[in-house]
Amino acid sequence: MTAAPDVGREAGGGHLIDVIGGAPATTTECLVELAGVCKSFGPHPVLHDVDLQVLRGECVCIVGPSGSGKSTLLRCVNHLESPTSGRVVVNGHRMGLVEQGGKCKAASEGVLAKQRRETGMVFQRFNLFPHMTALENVISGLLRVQGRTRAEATPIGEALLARVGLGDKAASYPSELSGGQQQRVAIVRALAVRPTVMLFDEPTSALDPEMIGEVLGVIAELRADGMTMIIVTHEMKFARRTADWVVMMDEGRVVERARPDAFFDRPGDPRTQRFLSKVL
Amino acid sequence: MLPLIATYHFDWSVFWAYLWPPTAFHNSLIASGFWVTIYMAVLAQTMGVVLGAVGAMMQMSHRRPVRWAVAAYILWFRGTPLLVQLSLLYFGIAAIYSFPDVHLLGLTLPGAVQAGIIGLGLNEAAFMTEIFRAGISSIDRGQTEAAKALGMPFRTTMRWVILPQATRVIIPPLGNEFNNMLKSTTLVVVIGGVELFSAISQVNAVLFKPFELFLAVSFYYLALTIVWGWIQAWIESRLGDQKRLRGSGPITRLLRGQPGALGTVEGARR
Ligand SMILES: Nc1ncnc2c1ncn2[C@@H]1O[C@H](COP(=O)(O)OP(=O)(O)O)[C@@H](O)[C@H]1O
Ligand SMILES: [Mg+2]
Repeated sequence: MTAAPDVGREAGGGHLIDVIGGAPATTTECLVELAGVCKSFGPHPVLHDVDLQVLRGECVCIVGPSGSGKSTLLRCVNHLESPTSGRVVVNGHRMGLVEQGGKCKAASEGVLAKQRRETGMVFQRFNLFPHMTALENVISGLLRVQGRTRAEATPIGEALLARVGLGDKAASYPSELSGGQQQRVAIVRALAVRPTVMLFDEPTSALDPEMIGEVLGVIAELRADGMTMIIVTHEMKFARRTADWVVMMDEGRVVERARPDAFFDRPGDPRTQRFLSKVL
Repeated sequence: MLPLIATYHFDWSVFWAYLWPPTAFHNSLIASGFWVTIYMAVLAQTMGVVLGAVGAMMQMSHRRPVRWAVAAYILWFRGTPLLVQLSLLYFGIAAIYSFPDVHLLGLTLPGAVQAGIIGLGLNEAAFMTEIFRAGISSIDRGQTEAAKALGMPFRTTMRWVILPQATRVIIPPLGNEFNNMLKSTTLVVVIGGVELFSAISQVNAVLFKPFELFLAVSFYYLALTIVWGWIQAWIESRLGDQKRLRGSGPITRLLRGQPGALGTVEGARR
């Protein structure tokens, strides 16, 4: 991995989060809590009794072999997949459930949509809306989720694009952007609606090597701004540099959770040792 | 034995008189029949598109009875002849409801034509439901997931993310459906709707020149479907051309689901 170019700094000072007006971390409350989360697809179990806590302002990197359930775990956090059992709490909201008269009921799609606004997600394959320009992508949440007017949303979108070095690409369509540029647009699209937690699912795995740095640079900057994040990644150097905690997953279980230095220098679990010896 | 094929004296003057619109439209029956055919096709197709969109949404419901209802509807309307459906609607329902003639803005919409529009529209809805469903399911699942992850509810996702993209897939088969619709309007003759074919049949009942008249009317349908083919090709070329997509014409904007497009709230406010 090359050094991250200083994208985002070119539009003047200030933090990425300042554009959307988020507050930096001050408290140590638990923003994301997964307790006993199990997930099966039909008869096929994918997650076994997963526990995970993320405090406000923390960055947790999830690593592990392909097929170990990292994506599924991340998608359970914002209920793109509903867990078969277990509890997912995001910023005090019990995801997928509503309380009514002291009883818990399964949330409707509409309620779930509101609960998902606590989280922003960045996908491996960007998933930008191809029929919208970069700017329209970024402000799509402001317009269609928050119901803001175009006049309100446009300056926010332009400022966000400028902060990730894409001020001149506002009118470009995703098909006209490189992978790294698309992923940066995708990051600010998710940020624009001011989520409390950002979820990244292998944000650089679909990128050519020379573009990985620019995307990781944006994520590192977001980290410095105090955003709470869960990042599934294969970029071990990045995880070591950026994470507060590194979580190792194998066959649907969290097998190890440690501080980065301890995780990479003195891995405790033999499965972690085996995994690290392959990827490092 | 006498030859079975007798000599037929083709009357060119009748043929030309009914082929050439200025002379043919002199007969007000033909003129009004021509317009009835066009507006019946347009209205029935519009009804089919609207109901088809609704049907496709209902098919995505997580309530099983809703999906079953749509499946039964499609089974029925695709599995029985349109001619029978029209007869059932007009003559069958007549026992409890007869379509009255409606007078609107100096125009008369005869009961049989109303029944024709509704019958053709209901039938078309079954086919459009399938076309919408195919279009929607052709869009990458990542698009729905990205919209969901942003917190968009189902309707918003459909309106602003999925349908604008699915339109590209839906337009070509929709165009073919309308080509069919222009020709299917002739079936309304069985319930007494006076459209172009029924009008020419009535002329034939008087003149008894079937070869000349039905050949002439064939060219009318041919002209309609050819003109529609051009319009369809033009729409499809605009859809396929990324550069043109950036233009801000009302149709382009409509197809792309942009604000200010025809038919959107923002567009209406301007
Ligand atoms: N929608 C799904 N239906 C069925 N099986 C799935 C689905 N999504 C994931 N899986 C299975 O779950 C396992 C874990 O997948 P995933 O969470 O994508 O792993 P990772 O992201 O760690 O590579 C895999 O065996 C995969 O085949
Ligand atoms: Mg994955």
